[in-house]
Amino acid sequence: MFSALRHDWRVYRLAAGMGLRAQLHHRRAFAFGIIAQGLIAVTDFIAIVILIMRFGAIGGWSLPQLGLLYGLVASSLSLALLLGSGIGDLDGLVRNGEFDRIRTRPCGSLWLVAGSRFEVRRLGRVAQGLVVLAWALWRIGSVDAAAVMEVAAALLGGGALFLGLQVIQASAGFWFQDGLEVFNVFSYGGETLGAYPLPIFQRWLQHLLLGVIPIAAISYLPALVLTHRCGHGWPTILAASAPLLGVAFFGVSLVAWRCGLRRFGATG
Amino acid sequence: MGAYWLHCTLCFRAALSQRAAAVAGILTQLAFGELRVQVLMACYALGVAAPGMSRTAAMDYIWLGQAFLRLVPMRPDEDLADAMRTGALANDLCRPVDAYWWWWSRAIGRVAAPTLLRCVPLILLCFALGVLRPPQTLGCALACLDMLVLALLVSAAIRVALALIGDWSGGSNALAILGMPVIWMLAGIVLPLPLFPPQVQQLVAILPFRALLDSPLRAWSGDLHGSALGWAMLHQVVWLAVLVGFGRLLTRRGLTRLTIQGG
Repeated sequence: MFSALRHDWRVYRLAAGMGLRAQLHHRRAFAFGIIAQGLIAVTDFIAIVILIMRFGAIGGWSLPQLGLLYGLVASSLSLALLLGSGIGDLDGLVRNGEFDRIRTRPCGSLWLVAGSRFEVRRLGRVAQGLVVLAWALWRIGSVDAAAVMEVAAALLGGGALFLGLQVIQASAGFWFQDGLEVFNVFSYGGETLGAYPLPIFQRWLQHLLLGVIPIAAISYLPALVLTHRCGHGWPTILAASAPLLGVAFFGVSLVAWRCGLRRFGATG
Repeated sequence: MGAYWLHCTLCFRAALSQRAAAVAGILTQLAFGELRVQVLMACYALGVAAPGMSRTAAMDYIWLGQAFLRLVPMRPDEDLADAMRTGALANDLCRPVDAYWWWWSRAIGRVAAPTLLRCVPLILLCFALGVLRPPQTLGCALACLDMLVLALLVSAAIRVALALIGDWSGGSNALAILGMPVIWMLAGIVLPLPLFPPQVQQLVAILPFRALLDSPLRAWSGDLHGSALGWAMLHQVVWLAVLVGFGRLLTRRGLTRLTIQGG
């Protein structure tokens, strides 16, 4: 199984690398694209700064602490958007028959779809999230090996979670043709929600963010550990290992993808 | 005048046919409205005195902002940008009409349709859910309506101007790409403008972007009234004139330098 996975990963790298090299030919468009993506994403963080200036600490969280939440969730989403660039285009691939051709290749079709495009400009988003995250960690201080491990785990779990959301969105395309942008609510809306401490939301939303689409598990819970807030309600060990839920969510999305593939009939 | 009005209504009706997209858009906007409201209400619950806007006005603002989201330009006018790239612009120039008014009327129609398709159901839904108050007085409602129309005209003018700048400055739409996040923020989509820090309020009040969304929304809730309301309307009219004048200038300059290839 692992050799198959390694093979798929190699194919993904080749496909995505090709996309990367193609875009490097247009250097000016490339640079502007990266900067613009970073700017668009940073408006969300500016909103947090403005709210703090008006209202003071939100839910008892100071600006660097909120920056930590925002950095975790924004980096996760942007990493997933970067790696899964091609997934959003699945309907186009299906319509022009390219997807039929992909399925004849001896390689996992999801990898080839994901690698069919590589949107380098999304690096701007990634950079923006990581910069805020680094700033927040620096301001909070006390960065030890355990903290670094926790951040890495949160990014891994978060990347997997948002990648899973994209895969589910694409899989839904096997059933529904229109209106898939509704799923943006979960990714971009999830990014906004993940940037605030969980208890400020109404109950039903808290349950949704913990149990259904576990965004709190990759931002709020790891941030509890990183800011030493565990204890009231969340044992450290539980909060620290919560990012695993993101990986589990990705697993669920792969099941959805399988079901979708089984339903898929070639168009011609 | 008749030709431009006809062009505007035809484009409006063409764009009106995209209903599935509107349904998805309404659901998306409902969800984003709910999450923005929950964040903002949590902030108001902290009990800070006079944060720049009352709690109910802020809530109306968020929901109306979602309803009229489409008024804010997301990208340069696509029809015009495409026409310039493909050379279809030659068709437009053959018509016995003024090029700028032709493009502007098309942009108005193209903005008005998706805005109407989303705002009417969303506002009704918000009333039904009891999260949005009706306009405070008849005067507020009329002022809001006037300002929404002006916002529509300004929005179309910005779209056309961005497309003109993009393609006559050497085919790069750098300004449009970098400008979009600024427009988003300063139109009031992300946060109500009255919540911005006092230090930047004056700058925000002068820039044209509040004419797109912020001014009409605050007229609805009565947050803008008296002379402030008059100034906001004047702000919209002045910027509309400036943007249209700028667009016409760009058109004239661009057309004198224009080369269309092909036979």
